[in-house]
Amino acid sequence: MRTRAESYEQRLERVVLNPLSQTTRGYKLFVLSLLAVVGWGLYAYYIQLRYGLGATGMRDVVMWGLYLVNFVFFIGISHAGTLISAILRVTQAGWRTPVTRMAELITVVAISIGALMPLIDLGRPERVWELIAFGRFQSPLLWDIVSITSYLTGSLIYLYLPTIPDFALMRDRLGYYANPVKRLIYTVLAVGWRGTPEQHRRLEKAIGIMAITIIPIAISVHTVVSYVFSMTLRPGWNSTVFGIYFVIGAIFSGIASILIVMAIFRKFYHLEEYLTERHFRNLGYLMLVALFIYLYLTFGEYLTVAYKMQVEEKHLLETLFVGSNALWFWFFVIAGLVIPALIIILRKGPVIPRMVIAAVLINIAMWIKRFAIVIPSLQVPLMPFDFGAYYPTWVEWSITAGAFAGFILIFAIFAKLVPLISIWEVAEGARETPQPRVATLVEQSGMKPEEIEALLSKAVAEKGRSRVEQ
Amino acid sequence: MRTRLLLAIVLAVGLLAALAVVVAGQGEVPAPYAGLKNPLPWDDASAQEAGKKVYQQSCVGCHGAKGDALPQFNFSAADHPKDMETRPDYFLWVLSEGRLSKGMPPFKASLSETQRWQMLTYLWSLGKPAATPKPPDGTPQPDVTPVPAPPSEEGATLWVGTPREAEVNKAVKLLATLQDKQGKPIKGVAIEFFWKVDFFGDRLLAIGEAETDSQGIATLEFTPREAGRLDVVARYKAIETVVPLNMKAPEEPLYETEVGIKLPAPGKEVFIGPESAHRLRAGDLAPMTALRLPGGIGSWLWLFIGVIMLIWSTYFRVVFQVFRIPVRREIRDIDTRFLPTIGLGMVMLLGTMLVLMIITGPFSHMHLG
Repeated sequence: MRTRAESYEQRLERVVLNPLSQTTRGYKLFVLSLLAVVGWGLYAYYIQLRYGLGATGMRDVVMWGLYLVNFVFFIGISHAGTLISAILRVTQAGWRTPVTRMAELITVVAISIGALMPLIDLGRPERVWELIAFGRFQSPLLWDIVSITSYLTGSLIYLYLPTIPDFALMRDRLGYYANPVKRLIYTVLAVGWRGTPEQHRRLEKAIGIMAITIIPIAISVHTVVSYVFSMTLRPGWNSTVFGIYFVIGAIFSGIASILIVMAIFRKFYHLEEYLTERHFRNLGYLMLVALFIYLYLTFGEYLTVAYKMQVEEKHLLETLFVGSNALWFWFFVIAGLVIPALIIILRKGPVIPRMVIAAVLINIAMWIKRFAIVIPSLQVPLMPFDFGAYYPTWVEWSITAGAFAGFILIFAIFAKLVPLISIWEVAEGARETPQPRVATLVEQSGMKPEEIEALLSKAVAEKGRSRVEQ
Repeated sequence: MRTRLLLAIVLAVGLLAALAVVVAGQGEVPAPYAGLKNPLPWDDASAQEAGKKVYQQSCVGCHGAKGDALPQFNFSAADHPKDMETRPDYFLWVLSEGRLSKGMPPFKASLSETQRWQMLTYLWSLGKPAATPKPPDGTPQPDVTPVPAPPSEEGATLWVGTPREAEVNKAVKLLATLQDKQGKPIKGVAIEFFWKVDFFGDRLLAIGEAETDSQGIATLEFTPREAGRLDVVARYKAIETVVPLNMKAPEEPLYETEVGIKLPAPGKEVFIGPESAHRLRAGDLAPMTALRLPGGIGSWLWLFIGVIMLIWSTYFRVVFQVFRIPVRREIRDIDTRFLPTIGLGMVMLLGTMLVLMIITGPFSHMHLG
């Protein structure tokens, strides 16, 4: 038995599980306001169903609008999760453990909201079944169904697997004192986990398989989303690089989303000890890499087109660079690429606020970039007509707001049911790292191991774990 | 092992379900057309002549002179006369009432019933092969015009043959025959083929080279890319022969796009389902779903189906690991296997649905059939 009042693991459990057992008034108000926005979005959708797509700004020429922009955006940030957490897991990056759960949660929530968007875009959503019953294999929309279904299922499984031991922990810690419904939920979710070696072996095996399987599926999803565009002959979409361009864009905005979510829960759930500057810095650098690849691809994409300058492409580039869409495009370049890159590179000021500001800018700019991909290409006339026009109506803005509120709402509810930090993995990681350190200290100082551990945990409590580890 | 067994069951269930989906269903001809038969004999020449007049006034614009302008409704297809004989009432119905959604107007107001039957009789004749005399047997290249070369100083003659009709983007066979002074074939020598272009003066662009066989014939395939007159030049040493080749431009619509590469079909198409799945259902509903592998058993579609099956069987395997986590003797009031069981079911259901969607998908549009 350890002698000190509270071990590292006990404190970890207390800090992470605390928000799950107590609900503050602020949280309730927050959820209520989100519900109001979602409700307003549903009302707008009712109006759209009632009066048809005429209620939106989409017309015969520009037939895709905000919904498709949101679709690409949400599918994009869904990459955050699974792909990044899987890559970090496969490469065995030790610092990943406190980050992965949130990343995976973003994936599941974002892809659920994102997959709704094409349905909302349909004038007759009940006919979506016909896509499955009579869909043609030649259509990228059908590929979308295959890859999004696979990805959603896969990321649900991948989110669920590492939560099993944590559900078991909650079943044991909260269950008996909480109401019977909670107990039932956690017991069912924990699938009889006792932490036996056999169970550990099975779980690790399952997680290992999923971590590798999910990477190609995640890549396929955004590639197929890009194919929906690039399998057409439209200027701006008629591109061979779109697959990787979308995948990188997704990883880019995905990392930005993780950073924002991490910062929010670090503050409100008091996770400062576990989500340290180191995590923000590492993710910030990953984001910088994605930024430069995206910058490179953007540059190459427009340069090759601008050099050859076919007539339709000329129209597109004019509207993007100097015409009616120039504001959007240059906002993306400045606020989404240049400023965040400078913020991350220059290293002036505290790490976390810097990374969060960069991440917020990137996410806004990437939404706008998706707008600049979808809308201007449709405005360019392919026949001798005038340019198409698109002005989103209040219905579309309301549904968009509802979708974003819905994303935050589902996330907030999940954050009350699932520990946002994988307790067992963080505890395991902590057990693995300090061991050799204690052993060397025993050799060097001649003190007893218990004394050294007590000293270490005291130091951890004072300075925060990451500093001691460094 | 149990995982594999379960996997095998999943696949078996999936395939059985795929077969089960195939349900018969065909557009019923409504009254008063149902059951009507052609009062005229199908091969009645005078009725066909009368029908032809009407056809050329009212139908030729969309259906074309040979009745083959709309690939879905190809009246010159070999199996078309038989189809008309088996269900004349259907054709009379469509002709009388029209198919406005497909652009086919109704004709019951403008044509009498006799006229309509006469026209159907003419349509029937379109699918019958015309009684043209066949070229006599033993002609090696029936559609080739040989052009002799001017006799050269060596005394050899080079003949070049090109097809009378050639279409852009389709391979053309060029034949050159080389004979010596006595008219005997010269074998085993290389003939060069060129294509004359006007590019700052006349120039020869090489097409290729072929060797003459025992009959003195050198054959080369060539795919021209431009319409109009094309001069093909064959050369052996100093002997040159020029033949004009008239390239017909393909009949292209204003805007044409084909979806995807034509993948090679290694075998005969596998189709399991009712014959009616080739056509729209009554009321222009989409045809019944049927199981179809475009390239037969070796279809490329298996590749995609294989990937999907691999992914979903992996999911199944993973969820099965979760299913094995609960220790059985510890299960008391709450069944801890509940969630993984639901998970296994969902994975099976969704995976099967995706596979079925792909196998039955390519068939659901008739113009692909």
